[in-house]
Amino acid sequence: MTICSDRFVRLADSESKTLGMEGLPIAIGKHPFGGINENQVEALSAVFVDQIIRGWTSL
Amino acid sequence: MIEHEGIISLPSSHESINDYFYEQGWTDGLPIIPPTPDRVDAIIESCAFDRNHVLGEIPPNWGSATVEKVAINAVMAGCRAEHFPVLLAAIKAITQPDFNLYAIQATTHPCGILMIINGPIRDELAINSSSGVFGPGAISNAVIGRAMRLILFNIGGGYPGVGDMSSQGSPSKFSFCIGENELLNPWDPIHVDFGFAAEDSAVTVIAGESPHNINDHTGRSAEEILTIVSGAMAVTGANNAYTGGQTVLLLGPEHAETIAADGFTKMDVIHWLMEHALIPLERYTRSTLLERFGSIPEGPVPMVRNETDLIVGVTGGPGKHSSWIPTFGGTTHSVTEKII
Repeated sequence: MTICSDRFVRLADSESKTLGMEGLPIAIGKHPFGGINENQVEALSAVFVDQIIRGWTSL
Repeated sequence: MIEHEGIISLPSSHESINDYFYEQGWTDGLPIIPPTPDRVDAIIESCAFDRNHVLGEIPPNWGSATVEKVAINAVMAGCRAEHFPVLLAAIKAITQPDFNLYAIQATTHPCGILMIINGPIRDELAINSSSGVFGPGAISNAVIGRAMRLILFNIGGGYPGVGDMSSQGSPSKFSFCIGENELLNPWDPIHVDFGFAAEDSAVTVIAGESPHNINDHTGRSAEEILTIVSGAMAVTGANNAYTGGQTVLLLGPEHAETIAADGFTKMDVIHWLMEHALIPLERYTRSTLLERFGSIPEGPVPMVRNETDLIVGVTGGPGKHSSWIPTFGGTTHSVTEKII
């Protein structure tokens, strides 16, 4: 499982497919990840935690 | 009789063929030369490798750059057999770990892959190293540079917005291949700096931005010209202002002649710029300094942090212009390979 900004999902999908990991669960957060404040980081991490739990428990 | 796989039959009109290639996303937006089996085979047969020989893997899709696939893209770009040895060496160079091709391909930064050609092959292929060297007009510069981009597209998956996430892209991503003007270079050429013999032919690859012009029509001494050069280099915005790494100074022959006439060696140029191409702290924000350096530096930030951080070469024609090429930064390094 990996995390990814919503603007980079096509790259992540394409790469996971070519590396033989098609369907790799990807936790997606709203772009950008850079230049954001601590509150935004905290909100982003909450979004990821939920998706990661869902991803892991669905495997 | 060669057994070809994956042959596509298309209507023979130029428009139909190009429409098909556009629709597949196989081109840079310009018309291509159809990679017919005879054209591709002519290139493959000119080299010492089997068509299935893998030259390297091209990220982000990690496609295998077989000789055949490279030849197909070379034909599409307009290359002929005589251009192929340059591409073979360049592919070997960009797939070296130090070059960090994954990052170069996928980054939001606008780097292209600059190829600098040195040695006898420069003249054999009529590679431009004089007036308009970065511009249009010379077949070899155009088609070799274009072939590199098509290889990055079609083997590596570096399509804009998919595998190439460059925020704004760059004209240097169309074609970015030059020769060094060895005839008017007062110092050793670039490939000799990297350990090759002057009589070797070599290609140096660098993940560079488009060239930034340095105009100085009044400098009469090395220090006067280098003062203007240092001003052009001491800028924020370039990745190198934050992460260091190599950049490239390509002096026009007239600037190089004046600098060398003052007794400056190439290493003297590098040392002078290490001391003078300094970015004042006020050009950074406090948050940028803290993020990039961990603390506020005590003094201005050198654009050239050590002797190996600046490649110095000579290219171009008459006139008082040079260029500086910032790069992807501290996580890539140029690679030079012999052209065989």
